[in-house]
Amino acid sequence: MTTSTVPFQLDQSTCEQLINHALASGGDFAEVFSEYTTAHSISYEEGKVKSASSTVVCGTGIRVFAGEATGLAYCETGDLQDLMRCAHQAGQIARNGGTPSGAQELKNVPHTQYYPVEKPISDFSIQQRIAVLEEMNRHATEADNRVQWVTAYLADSERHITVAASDGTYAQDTQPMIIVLCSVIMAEDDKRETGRSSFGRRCGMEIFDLTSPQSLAEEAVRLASFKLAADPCPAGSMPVVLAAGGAGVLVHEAVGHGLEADFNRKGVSVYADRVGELVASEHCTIVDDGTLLNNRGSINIDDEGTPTQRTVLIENGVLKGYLNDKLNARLMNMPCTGNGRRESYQVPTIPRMRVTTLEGGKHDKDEILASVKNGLYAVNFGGGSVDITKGDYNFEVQEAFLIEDGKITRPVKGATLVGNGPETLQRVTMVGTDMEIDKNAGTCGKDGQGAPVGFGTPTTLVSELVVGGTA
Amino acid sequence: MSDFELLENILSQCEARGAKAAVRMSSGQEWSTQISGGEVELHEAASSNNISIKCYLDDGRNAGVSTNDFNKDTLTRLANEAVDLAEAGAADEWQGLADAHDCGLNEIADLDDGGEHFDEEQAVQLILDAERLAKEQDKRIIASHRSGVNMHRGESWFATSNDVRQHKHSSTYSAQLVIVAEQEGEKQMGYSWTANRNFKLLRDAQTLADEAVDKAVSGYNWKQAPTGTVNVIFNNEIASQILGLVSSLSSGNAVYRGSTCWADKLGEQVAHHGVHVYDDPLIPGALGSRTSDSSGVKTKRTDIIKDGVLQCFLTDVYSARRLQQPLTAHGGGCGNVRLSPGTMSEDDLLKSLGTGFYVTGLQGHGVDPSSGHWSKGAQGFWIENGERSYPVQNVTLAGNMTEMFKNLEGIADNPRPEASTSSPSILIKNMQLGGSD
Repeated sequence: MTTSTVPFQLDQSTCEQLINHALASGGDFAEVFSEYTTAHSISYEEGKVKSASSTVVCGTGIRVFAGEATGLAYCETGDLQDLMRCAHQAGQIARNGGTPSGAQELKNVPHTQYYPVEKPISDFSIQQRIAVLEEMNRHATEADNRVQWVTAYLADSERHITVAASDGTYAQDTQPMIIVLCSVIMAEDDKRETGRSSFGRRCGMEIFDLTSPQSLAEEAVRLASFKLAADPCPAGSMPVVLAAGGAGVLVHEAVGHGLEADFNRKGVSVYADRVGELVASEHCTIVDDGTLLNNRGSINIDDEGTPTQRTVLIENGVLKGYLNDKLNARLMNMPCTGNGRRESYQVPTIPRMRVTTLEGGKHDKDEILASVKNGLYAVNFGGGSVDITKGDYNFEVQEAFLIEDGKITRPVKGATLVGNGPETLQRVTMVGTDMEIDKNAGTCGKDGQGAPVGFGTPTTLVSELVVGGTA
Repeated sequence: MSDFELLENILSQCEARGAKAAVRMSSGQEWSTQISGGEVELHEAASSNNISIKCYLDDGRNAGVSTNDFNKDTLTRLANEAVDLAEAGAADEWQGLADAHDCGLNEIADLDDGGEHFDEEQAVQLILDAERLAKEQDKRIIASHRSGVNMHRGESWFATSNDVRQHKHSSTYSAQLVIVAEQEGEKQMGYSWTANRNFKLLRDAQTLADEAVDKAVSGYNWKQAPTGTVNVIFNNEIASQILGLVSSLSSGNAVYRGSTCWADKLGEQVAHHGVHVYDDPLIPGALGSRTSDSSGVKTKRTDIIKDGVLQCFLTDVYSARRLQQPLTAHGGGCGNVRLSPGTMSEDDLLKSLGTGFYVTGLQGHGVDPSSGHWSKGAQGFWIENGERSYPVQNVTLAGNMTEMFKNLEGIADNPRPEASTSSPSILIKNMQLGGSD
């Protein structure tokens, strides 16, 4: 498990040659994106290594814009002939017109390092990594005699990218990632429940300065144990208090996706043509930030070489702008916010979130809970999704409590919650001071592409959501 | 590369270090076009390659590596890394290559049309026509988004240390239409898709337009249905998603982990007695058909549920050995899962429902096979006297999967075409709806 050297990182002169060739038939813009990614994983079950893997993914994708159209071709060798063929193929999108335009001289894009690595995982032997999983397994197994099965998992990757474009961009980045996960199955009588905890960051083994195999194991066991004891969740419309942190999934689904520029340029998002309007209650300020140190969703540069930034999307309820990549920014005449991301060289770049947060408000957590007569306090969250056209979204709650007369009472287990994004934002009636970034290893899916993201919220009261319980 | 030479070199490297291995090389050709507003928006063409190596030591210690960097040094390094990783692992008596006598390839017709019917211009025209027809059909259709057409042709070579050699090829074509309607400022989305192994057999533009337009506009003037216990009909598209739960509930790998609530239900009643579910990976031309599974095991038809009784667990090489159950060739997942159709039309099924919820869409992730807990966002129509009363949106549906299949009391005669997991419309009684007070 050693980190390999990067066999092909395209130099500036090769990139210039490819860009000029890609623009030979016309076209407004050409870009070369090259990637070399190595990844490893170890899965530990039943007190031993269950499986281990190592992966190398490499290739170069070339894009050409002609008006609103994009040509994309990729190849997986560093061979210049293959790359030139690829450039020609991508350039065919402009074959019906346009005058050949040259590329600007490539210049290194300066950017800040938001994910310094202190202890590179490549310095740790496979035995040292297995030891982490052994420890996690031991703590989970010993924590409760109802634990039937433990899965401990450690994965890491290192993605090297080079981006060069006809607008003069030349940028490189190395993007590290570590994920640690513990999953347990607990049984009692004829009931079975699963508990999961995970932590993902762009860093090295110093991830264990912030968490530990023991705390991850204990959290997974606690959650499964909670579900075994909890009553079924109620069904129907009710006020919901969302706990700080993981409730960021609501911001991600209810707002974030709807503000991605591609949906808005074509008018298919519920938020299209609404910049400057009040789209949320005045308690809502929503930000997408790529600069949070070592966060899983942070990026030094996006996959178009644009340095990252902190982008305010909604300020005190007013829509300020969208999440843009170069194509949509140019076509909408808006600033590029550095949100152009692609899962790999094989797929098109699209506007994606980084770390999306609802900023802290002025209410105390206890004050928020006390204000609710009868409702739900949602504490632990699972995945969600959204229909960006209607703005209808959903997310899963794993752990919740009933609120009765302003007090937390009975524990209730998971349910899917649904709501409408713009409606929910109007119904955010109290926002806490206790803003927290979620620690879980979140992955966002869009157009079949996965992207590591982060999110966060303070304690938040939504005056009405539909809760999908069985009681 | 058209022969097994490269794979055999890798096998030799693993074998020289005392390991047995299975190596797969895949190569694919892709072509896809997205359109919007009558124009091509994205065009992509490429070919890709991958080699994956799974290696085993005699005591079952194992590891897997994969790469698309075919540089000789990378391949040598990875073959060695596979053995290094395996050596660091733990013994497991059930791990290992598939037995050679279980391996083989079925002859299944029409899995690859050879690309001979595929025509790029016709493909683009299909989706442009579908978009245009949708807009002509209903003035409320204002845009389309990520509508497109795709071609994939793939070929793979598979070789193992116990002399299995397999060469496979396949084709898949698909098109999807995604449109947006607007009425009095309210937007709704509608979609339709088609997929086939033969380009000529894709559904036509008019059919795609009709289905997407109906989905986009039929939801206007919706209401929330009232919270309570309801009987539910899932249309054949959504019922196919429900049927997909059978695969995860009966997965051999979930059984030994205890992560399915059907783990101890073999031979027991898990569904209503009218429910028959099988997986037939041998259907000519079907999307889920495959000649062998991911370990090279020859595929066959498997009865999963008969008269409501669970017949088997879906096993790959490892879980079959470990559970001491028959090997059903489910390495890499299912083939074509089918719920046997009933004799009633969907209209008659709606009449038999009387009052209830007809579901045409589900959203969300709330599925937990270990507890059986199931909870989703839903949309569709409220049904009274067997007829659509009003469109329903912004509600939830929840239940327990153990109960849901037992309460599956009605099956229509209209299996969803084209889908690899395909169900007719189904009636499930007593689900919990979360909606208005």
